[in-house]
Parts: sequence; structure tokens; C-alpha cells
Amino acid sequence: MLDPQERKLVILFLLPTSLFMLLLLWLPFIQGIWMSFHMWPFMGEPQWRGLDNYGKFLRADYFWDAIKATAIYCLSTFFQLLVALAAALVMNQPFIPFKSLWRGIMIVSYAMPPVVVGAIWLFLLDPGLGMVPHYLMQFGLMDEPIYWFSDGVWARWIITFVATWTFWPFMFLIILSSLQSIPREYYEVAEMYGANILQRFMVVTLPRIKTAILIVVILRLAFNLAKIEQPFTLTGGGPGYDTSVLSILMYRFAFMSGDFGMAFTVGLFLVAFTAILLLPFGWLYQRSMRRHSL
Amino acid sequence: MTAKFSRAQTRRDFLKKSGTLAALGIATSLTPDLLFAAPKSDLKGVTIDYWNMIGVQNKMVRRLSTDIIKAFEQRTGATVNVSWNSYGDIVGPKYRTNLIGGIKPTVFDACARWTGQLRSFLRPLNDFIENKLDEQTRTAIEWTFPIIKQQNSGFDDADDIMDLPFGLIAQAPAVVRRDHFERAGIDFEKNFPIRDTDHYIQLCKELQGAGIKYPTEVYGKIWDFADTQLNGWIRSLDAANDDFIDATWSHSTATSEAWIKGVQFYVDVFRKHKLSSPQTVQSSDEASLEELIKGRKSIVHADLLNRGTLLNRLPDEMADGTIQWSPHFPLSGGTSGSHACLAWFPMCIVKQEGPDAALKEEAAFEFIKEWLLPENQIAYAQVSGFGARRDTWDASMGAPDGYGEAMIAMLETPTPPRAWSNHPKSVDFQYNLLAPHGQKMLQGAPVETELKAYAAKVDEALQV
Repeated sequence: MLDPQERKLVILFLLPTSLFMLLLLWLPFIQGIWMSFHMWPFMGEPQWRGLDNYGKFLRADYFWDAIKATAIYCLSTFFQLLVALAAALVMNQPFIPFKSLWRGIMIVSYAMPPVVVGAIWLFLLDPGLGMVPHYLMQFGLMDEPIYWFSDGVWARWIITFVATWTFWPFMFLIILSSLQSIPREYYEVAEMYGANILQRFMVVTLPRIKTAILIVVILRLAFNLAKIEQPFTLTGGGPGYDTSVLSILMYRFAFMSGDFGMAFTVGLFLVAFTAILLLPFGWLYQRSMRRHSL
Repeated sequence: MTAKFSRAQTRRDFLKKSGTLAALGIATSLTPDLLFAAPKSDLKGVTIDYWNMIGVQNKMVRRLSTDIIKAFEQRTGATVNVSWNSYGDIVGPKYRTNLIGGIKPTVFDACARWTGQLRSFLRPLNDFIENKLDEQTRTAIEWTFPIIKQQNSGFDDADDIMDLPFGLIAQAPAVVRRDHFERAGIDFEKNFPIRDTDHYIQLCKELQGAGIKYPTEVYGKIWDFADTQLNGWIRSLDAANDDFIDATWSHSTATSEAWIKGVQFYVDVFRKHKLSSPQTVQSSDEASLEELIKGRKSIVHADLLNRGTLLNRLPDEMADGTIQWSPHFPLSGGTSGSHACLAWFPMCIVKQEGPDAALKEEAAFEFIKEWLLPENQIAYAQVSGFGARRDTWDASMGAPDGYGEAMIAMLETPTPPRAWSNHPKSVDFQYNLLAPHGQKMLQGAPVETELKAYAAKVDEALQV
């Protein structure tokens, strides 16, 4: 238990951060909710609209396209996890030479600005000029180039793939550092008891990196859903609205239509969407933390 | 139109005229008072901030911008702080947020239909035009004044000229590869310029028969769907309804018969005639021009701003006439008297505050005058768009690629061209709201249904 003097000190230390959060996060967020009930132009007087913006968004011809695009795009987080976990498990093996070099190479995509990565992939996948279609055809894997960005299904999976390629090193670094903290003796004991590689992973590795995995999944889910620049560079939200993830719609309303009321309405849908996705992971994380503290 | 498209001037004439004017330009910059009356106020020590956007058109325009700034500083003793911007900066939030936040340039260049959203920050230029512009320059640019008024017709202060064009493009000529025509056995002299869309389809099919798989392209990308050739075809059917909104700025025109026919033809080039590549839904004029440069396309609509790229990438073909600019052509049966839309690049002066506001605004107008000097207008026309000064247009005639002839044929039509409206939401109407529907139409959705849906969105945006 803290004595009253210590409690005051804790409050004093928490105050600047709390004030910062209040002014720069919560007040704008609450103002955003308020704005979503208005037609709020970039310049000019806002007009009260009540729930009209919400109704308009739910009835819009692009609503389900946007939800579908966002749902598929957020799968990128799980693909990132698979790639990152596999890479971290390999890089944690003692026999791998030049580990620093490999780690450096692996994080290149994450070190580059997402827009640049998007532009590179746009070029690599270009049906006329890109290396990917060129080699796929040369090796006989396809007869003619695929026009990835002209077809909604392809376009949605391509933006998901490029997001996976760009952001997996973040997960890789955190999972790898978590793996490196597991004492080698645990594996030796498991081996002595005859555990095979899968059993060692399930019994020794996974429980010890579970918290790290939950943290990176939560962070990346939230980060991915807020990404605008990379999918926008790749497809502009099209064809039609097929790759207009909620964040792109929000950007379009705010900065192309100049309608901040609608932008915040879409933003609040995005917050709700993110919260629904994060809830189970948050719950798992809390449970895991409670177990650790017992 | 065809009668105006005369190739009587030779390359030699062109070089002679350009050379004379260039020499005049050098002489002028050495002795500024020769052609250019000195400003009444002493501008020595005055600093103006200039936001340049046109530098993104190509490297040569950026260099020309730098040269003009230097010449202006030399002539007046004023200093120009230039910041280089992109289209996205003015279309997107950067300019608006900066101006609202009090970060203002003294002068900036722009695309005319994008300045409506910034109009409340701009200073009317009528008094400057009246009192500070020499007679010759005023006469050369006054043809633009009624069009400026037309494009701002929805504003209460439409009589105020707030954006004064120095450069322009008529959208959109077609770049043609003469060597492809010859390879396909098409008599170039008889078939150039392209007469109408039936002729265009016939030529493209012949070119396709000669092995050019996709000889032309229509564009689906957000910035190009309704920014290149489409609106000219609509205009050829109905010159009063080619804009995105009507003259009173109260409703969309997209459900008009001309729009439906124009867009249907645009879609048909891809879906019915199969003359445009499978990438059409996301294709752009820049990428298609690249295909033309590589010899994989024969007729590509592209605005004149791409001329710098062609000069840079295909210098021999530009010099020997392999590359030719064809004026945009009407939709077959289109008799409206015009088949091109005007887009221009104005200079705008931002209202200044403080004790030296008047002096800064005057310096900004002197800077605009520098851009309007004949030699600078001609230099601009050689690397990018056309100059706004009508008396400099002849100097662009006779180039081997025929860009001057194509531009003039599009500008001097029986019904004068007009510019797209400068409504504050014009970016939304032209690109953001239309392109998704455009892409759906290119994917096979019915044209009439999609245009109706688009028009409903525009009408809704106009209500608020």
C-alpha cells in the first residue's frame, strides 16, 4: 500500500501524460463524435444533421464494399504473424550464420516508407513492365499477365499481400527478442523427456511468447486498420470501391470532399470495427497477464 | 476545324520565329525598360513568397520557373522565396490548412478549377489588370476574361478576376505514331488529323490488324477518367452540358443525353471494340504515353503537358515528325462546334496583411507580368502547355510534331472552348465521386445507372 505522500507523487507524475492524452487524444475524439452529427465543411458554418450521416453511410452503395475490403485487409495482420513467427523461429536457431546480416536484410521493407514500398510493388506487379508477371510467364506459371488492380478480388488480396510484406518485420523483431529470452535449458529438458520439435514448440516456446504475440497482434491490427497511404498508392481505393478500406473512405471524405462530419462518421465505424476485432485479443492478453501474476 | 489545322508553316519558319523571340527575350532581360515599363513603386528589398506547383509538370518547367524568378529579382530588386509543391498539395489539404492557419504565400500558381475552394483568401486583380498591365499584354490575354467569369459563375463576385491564367491546355489532343500508320499501310496524309470517333475506331482497328494489340487507351484511374478525352466527346454533342455541373451550380449534368452517349462510347472503346488494354480500369495517360514511347501504342490521348516527356524520351522521333499531335476530334454526329475543354494555369495573389501588404501585392503582380512576357510565354509553350497570350501562339506553329497546330485547332473552334467550373467542390465532382462509377462502368455496369448514381451524389453535395 502506498502512503498518502507517495500517492500524491504518483498522481503528480501521471498528471502531465494524462493532460497530454486528454488534450491531444480524448478531446479531439469527443469533438469528432460531435462533428459526426453535423455537416462540417472545411470552410464555412457546420450544420446540425443528427444521425443523418450514419444513415447515409449505412445506405451508401459503397458501405458493404468498404466493410469487405477492410475485413480482408485486416487479415494481413495474421499473415504477418505467420511469416514473422516462422522467420523468428528459424533465426533463433544456433546454427544460422551471419544472423545480424539476415536480420538487417529482413527489416528493410519495414524501414522504408510504406508509400515507397507501395510504389515499388506497383511497378513490380505492372502487367506490362513488372518483374513479377514477367518471371511468372517465363517460368510458365501463367500464360498472360494478370491485371491485378483492374479486378476487385485481386486488388483486395494484393493490398493485403503488400501490407504483409511491408509490416511483418515489426512482429518478427518482437517475437525474436521474446524467443531469445527463453533459457536453452528448457529445451534441453524437453528433449531429455523425448519431446519432438512440435511438442517442444507447443510446450516450451508458445506459452513463453504468447504474451508477445498478443501484444504485436493487437498493435498491428490497430495500426493496419488505420493505414491509408499504401493501399491508396496501390489502387486509389478502386476499382470502384473494391479496395476502399474504411481509412481510405475517411480520407476521401475529409480531404477530397471536405466533409468532416462524414469523415468522422466513417472514423467512428472504423473505431467500432477495430474495437470488435481487438476485444478477444485484449481479453486473452488480460487472462495471460493474470496467470503470470498468480 | 480541319480548315484551321493548316501545316503551311515549316520547321524553318518555326525556328526563325522562336529564334527571333528568344533573341528579343535576351535583349529584354538585359534592358528591362525596352519592352517592360518599370513598376511605379520601388520593389527593392520587398520579399514575396511564391508557391510553385507547375514545376511538377516536368524538369524543364521547373528550370523555366527558376529562370523567371531570377529574371524578376534582377529586374525589380525584390526577392522571391519559392516553395515547390505538387498537384496533391493544392487538391489535398495542404494549401487549405496552411491558409486557414495563417501560413500564406504572396502569390501561387494553380490549376484554375482548383482555386474555387481558396477564393475567400484571394485578392481581386481587376485594378492591377486595368492600371498596371501594358496595353499589348492586356489585349493579348483579354480573351480569357469572359471564360474566367464563366468558370466562376456560381460565385457572387464572379466579376472579380482572382485567377489570371499564364498557361493553358485544351484537353485533350491525341499523340499519334506516324510510323505505325505507315507500317499498317494507312495513308497518313489522308487520315491525319483524325476526323471523328468513327474514323478513330476504323484507324485503331487497322492498326490492330497490323499487329498493335491495343493501339489506343481510355483511362480508368481516378485522376484521368474525366480529365483527358471524355469531356471533349461529351462537349461535341452538347457544348452547354459538358461540365460536371450546370451553369447555375445547382445540379449535375451527368444524366444528360450527351453524357450518356459520350461515356457509353468511352466504355465501348474498351469493352465493345477491345482497342484499349485489359488494364484500362486502372490505366492513366502517363502510363499509356509510356506505352506509346515504347512503340506498343499508336494513338494516345494526352494533354500537352506531356510534351516535355516526349522531347526528353523521343528526341529523334519528335524532330523528324514521327510523333504527331492530332487535335481532339468530335464524337461522330457531334455538331456542337467544340470538342475540347480548357484547363488553365492561373497565378493568384493572396490578400496580404500588415503595413507592407500593398507593396507585396504589387510585387506579386509584377511577378505575374514576368510570366506574361512574350519570351516566357513561348518558352513555356515549348516545354509544357500553351501560353495564355494569344499573340504568342503563332510562334508555336511549324514544330515537327505539330503541337501548335493541334492546340490552335482545338482553341479556335466555331463555339469557343470553355473552362470547367471553379466550384469549391470541383475536385470531388471530377475525380473523387466520378471515378469509382467510371471504373464500375468499365467493368461492365450499365452506363445510365452509374451516371444516375453519380449525379445523385453530386446533387447531394451541391445542396450543402
